Amino acid sequence: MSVKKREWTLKPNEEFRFEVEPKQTLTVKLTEGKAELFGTELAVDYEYQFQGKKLGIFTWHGCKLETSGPAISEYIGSETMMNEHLNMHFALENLRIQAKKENRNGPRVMIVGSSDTGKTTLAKTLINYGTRHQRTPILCDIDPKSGLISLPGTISCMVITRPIDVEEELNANIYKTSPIAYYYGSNIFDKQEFYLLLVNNIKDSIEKKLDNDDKIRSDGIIVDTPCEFVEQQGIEILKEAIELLKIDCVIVIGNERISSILTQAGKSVIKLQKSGGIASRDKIWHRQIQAKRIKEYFYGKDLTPFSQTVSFNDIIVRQIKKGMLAPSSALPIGMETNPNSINFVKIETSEILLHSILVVSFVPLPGTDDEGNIKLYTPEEETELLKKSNVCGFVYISEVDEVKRKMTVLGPNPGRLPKTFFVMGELKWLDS
Amino acid sequence: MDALKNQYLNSLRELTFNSKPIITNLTIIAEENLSNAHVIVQAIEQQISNVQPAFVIPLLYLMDSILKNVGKGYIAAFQKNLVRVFSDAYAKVNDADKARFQTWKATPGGYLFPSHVIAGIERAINVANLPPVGYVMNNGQKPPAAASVRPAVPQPVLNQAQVLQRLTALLAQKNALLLANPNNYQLGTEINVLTQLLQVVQTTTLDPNTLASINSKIDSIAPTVNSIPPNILPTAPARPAIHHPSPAMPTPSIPSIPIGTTIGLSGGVGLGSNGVAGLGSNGLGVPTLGSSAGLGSMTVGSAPGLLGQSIAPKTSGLGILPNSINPSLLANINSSALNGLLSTLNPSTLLSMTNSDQKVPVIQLTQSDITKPIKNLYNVLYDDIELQCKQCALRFPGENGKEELTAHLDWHFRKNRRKHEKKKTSSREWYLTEPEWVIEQPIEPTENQVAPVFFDQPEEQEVEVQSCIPTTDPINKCEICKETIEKFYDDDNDGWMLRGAVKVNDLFYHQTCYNDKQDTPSLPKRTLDSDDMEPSKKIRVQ
Ligand SMILES: Nc1ncnc2c1ncn2[C@@H]1O[C@H](COP(=O)(O)OP(=O)(O)OP(=O)(O)O)[C@@H](O)[C@H]1O
Ligand SMILES: [Mg+2]
Ligand SMILES: [Zn+2]
Ligand SMILES: [Zn+2]
Repeated sequence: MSVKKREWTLKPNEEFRFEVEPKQTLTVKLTEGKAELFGTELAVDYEYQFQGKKLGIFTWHGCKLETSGPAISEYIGSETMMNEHLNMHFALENLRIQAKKENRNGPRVMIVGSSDTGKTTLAKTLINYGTRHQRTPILCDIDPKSGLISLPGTISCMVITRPIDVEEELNANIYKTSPIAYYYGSNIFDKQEFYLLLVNNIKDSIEKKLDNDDKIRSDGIIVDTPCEFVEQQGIEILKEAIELLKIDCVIVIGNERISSILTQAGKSVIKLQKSGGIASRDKIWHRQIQAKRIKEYFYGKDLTPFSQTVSFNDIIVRQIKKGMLAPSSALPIGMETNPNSINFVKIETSEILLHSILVVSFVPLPGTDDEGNIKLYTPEEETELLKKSNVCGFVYISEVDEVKRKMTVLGPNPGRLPKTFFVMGELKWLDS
Repeated sequence: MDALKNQYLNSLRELTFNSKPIITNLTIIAEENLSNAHVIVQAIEQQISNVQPAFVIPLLYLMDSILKNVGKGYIAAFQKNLVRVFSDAYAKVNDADKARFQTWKATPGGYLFPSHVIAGIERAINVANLPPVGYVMNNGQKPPAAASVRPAVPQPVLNQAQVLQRLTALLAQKNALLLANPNNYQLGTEINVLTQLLQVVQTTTLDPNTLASINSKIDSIAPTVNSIPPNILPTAPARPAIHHPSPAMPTPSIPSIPIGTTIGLSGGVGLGSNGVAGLGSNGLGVPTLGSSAGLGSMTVGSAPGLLGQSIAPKTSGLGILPNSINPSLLANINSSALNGLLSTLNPSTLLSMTNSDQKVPVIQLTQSDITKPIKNLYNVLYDDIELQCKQCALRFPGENGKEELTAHLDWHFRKNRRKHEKKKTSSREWYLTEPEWVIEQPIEPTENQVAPVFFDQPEEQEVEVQSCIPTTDPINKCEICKETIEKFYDDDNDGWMLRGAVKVNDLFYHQTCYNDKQDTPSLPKRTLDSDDMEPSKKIRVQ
C-alpha cells in the first residue's frame, strides 16, 4: 500500500496522536524540534515504525513530524496532562532526594483508574522521566492483562535504568536489567486470594532487592494496576494491594468516587483528569496486542528463538485449578474442599497443549538431585512450590505428535529446556 | 590523546585576557573530558610555560575554575606539578601579577590540596623574595610598613550555631521570596540546597573547614549582604555593601568588595577556618576592607587591572577566580551546578546531598503543587543535559555522563555492526531466579545475551546451532542416535529443513541428543568452531 507522506507542525505543548492497525506499519519521523513519546525523547530523523499502537507524541518545544504509511487516525491535540505529569515527576524527585539523604524508601505511588484512562501511560511517563534524571525506579505491573513487562497473565516488575524503547517498549532487548514475573492468569476476580498472594510474592521480591540496593531503594516504585480495582468488587483488593506494597500515594485518574473512598480510608490521594488523547481499545484490539506481545517475546527485533523436539516424557505440565484438590489426594469423609483454594493439577501431555504458551517455572522436576537423593513431592508440596515460584520464561508448543509421543517446543533461546514444571495458562497463540 | 591535547591547546590560545565566557567554555570542555584530565592538565601546564608573561594569570584563573567547578580527577592531576608550575609562573610574571599570587595563598587551599603542597608553593614564592605573608603589594607599590598593617588578630569564626542561625534566616527569607515568585525554580533549587545544608548542620558536628565551606555556600546563595543577620557578626567589621556588577558576568547574588587593594592574608594551613581580616589602602587612600572574618571565609580584594571588576568572597580551592561560585557561571556548566556548589564541602558529611546534580524545583506530592504550572520546567530534562546520543536521543546527565555516552556509542556500534553482518546472534534469556534477580546489577544487554541458566553454552555456539537447518541431502541421520532427522518443507526459505536439529562441524544431530551429550562430562564442551564472536562476558550471579 502506498500512502504518501504527511507533515505535521506542532506548537509547544501540543501532541500528535495516531492509531495504527496491528498488521500495518506507520512510520513517524521527527524532522525538527524536540518531542517525546510518553516521556521518552525521540531522536531527530530516525524513522520510528509502529504497529498496533495508539499513541501521542508530545512536544514541549514545538516540532515538525513526518508520517508515512497507513493510519487509522492522525491528528494534533492540545489538551494534555503533561504539565501535571511533569510536576508529578519532580515531586517524586524531591522525595527521592529526601529518601536518599535519610537512607529510607523512596516514593511508592500506585496509579488507579477505570479502563483506558491512561494509567499505564502515566506509569511509563513517570518511569521515563525518572530515568532521564539518572534514577532507577522499579516499575511494578500488577495488571495481569497488560503484559507491559512480561507476557500477559503475569504480574511483574523490573528495575528500569533507561527510558522505555519507543518501538518495542519493554520487550526490546536493550535493557540492563531483567524482569521478575509471577504467573496468575487473566481475571483478578477469578482467584482473588491467589492474586493477592502473588502481589505479596512480588512485594517480597522487591523488598529483598531493596534491602540489597540503597540506590534502587531510594528511587521508589511506580505501580500500574488493573482497571478492575475501581469496580465495586475490586475496591477491597485495591486497598489490600495498597497495604501490601506500602504505597505512599495513590494517583486516581478520572474517578472521584474512588478517590473519595480512598481518602476516607486514610490514604494519600492525588486526583488527575484523563488526558484528552487517550484512545479506547476493544476486546479484539487487546487480543491482537496480546498476540503481538507473544511474538515479540520470541521473535523481537534481533531475537532468534529456538525450536526443539522433545518426548512427552520430558515435560511435565501443570494447570491452575480452583476449589479442587489434586487427584491423588483423598479427602477424609465429611471434609469439604475450600472453593477458593488454588491447586496446580496434573495435565496429561497430549494434543491439548497444541498452540499453548506454557509458563516455565523454577520448580525442579522430581527426580534425583545433585547428591543422588531421590526427591518427590506430594501434590500439596508441589502446589506450594509452584505458587511461590516466579517465572523462568515461556515456551510455545507448535506441534504435538500423539503417535510418536513427541512435541515441538519453541523456546526463547538455544539452551536446553529447563528441567522444571511447566504450567499451562490461558494463553494460546498461532505462530504465523 | 594528542588530538584532544592539541585541540585544547588551540582553545587555550584564545585565553589572552580574563574572559569569563572563554574560561567557562574551557571549564566545560575540561569537564567533558574528565576521563582524560591529565591530558587537559598537560595542555594547561604547557601553555602556562609557553605563553608570554601577560597571559599567565588568565590561565591560572582557568585552572582555578576547573578545580572548583569540576574538581574530582583534576585535583590530583593538577597537584602533580602544582608547585613547579606555580613557581615557574611566578618567576615569569610582572610585579603586579606577582601580587596576585599572594592573594591566591589566602584561600583555604587546604580543601583541595594537602598542606605540604600548599607549603611548597608558599616556599617557592617566598624564595622568590616576596613580602612576607600577611600583606601584599598592590600595583607594584611597596608594601606598607609593617607597623601600618594591622596584625593578623584572629577574628571570630562562625561556629556551628551561628552558621545554623544564618541558614535558618536565609531559608526563611528564600521561602518568603518563593511565595512571591512561585514559578521561580531557581529559588526552589536554592531552597533545596539550603534545606539540605540545614539538615547537615543540624545533625552533624562539623569541623571548622566544612563550616567555612558551608558558609561560603551560603554567601553564594544569599541575595545581598544585608540579608545576613547582623547579630551573628558581632565583632566583625561591617562589610561594605557596595555592588559592582560586571557586564560580562553579573554577580547579583554575591556581595562584593570595592575595587581596591588586596588584603586579608594569613599563611599556613587551615586558613579557611580562620579567616583573617586585614587592612590596606588603595592608591586613592580609600580604606578598603577585605574581611571575611564574620563569614568565616576569606575575602580577597582584587587589583583592578586584573579583573576590572569587583570580586566576591572566596569559597575554597585556589581561589584565584573570585566569582567561581557565581551561580550563573555554574549554571553554564549546567549539570555540575549543584555538584559544584556542594563539592566544595567535605564529601563525607555531605555525601547524601550530592545524589542529585540536577536542578530540582521544590514540588510536593500534593494536589496543588502537581497542578501549578512552572515555566520551562521541562528544560531540566532537555537543554540542561547537553550530552546526547544523536542516534537514539538518550541524554547523559551527571558526572560520568561523558564516559557513559562513550560506552553507549560503542554499544550502538556493536549493535549496528552485528545487524549489518546479519548475525542474528541474540536470543531472549530465561529470566533470573528470585535470588539472582535480587542481586542483579545492571549490565549492557550486548554482553547479556544467550547465557542460558540451565545450559552453560559458550556464546559462539549459537551461530552454528540452529533449530531448523536447511538441507539438500535426501537423508540426514543423527550422529548420536543414528535415527533419521525429520525433514519439512519451509515455505519462507523455499527449501527443505531439518527439524529440531543442530549442525556441528558439518555433522547433524538431534538437538535433544546433542544437548544430552553436552551434559556428559567426558565429552569436551567446546567442540564447535568459534567464529569471531567474543565469548559471553556476562557474569552470572551464583
Ligand atoms: N496522550 C495520548 N495520545 C494518544 N494516545 C494515548 C495518549 N495517552 C494514552 N494513549 C493511548 O490510549 C490507550 C489507553 O491508555 P493506557 O493503556 O495508558 O490506559 P490504561 O488506563 O492503562 O488502560 P487499561 O485499563 O486497559 O490498563 C493506549 O493505547 C495508550 O497508548
Ligand atoms: Mg493499563
Ligand atoms: Zn543512543
Ligand atoms: Zn538423535
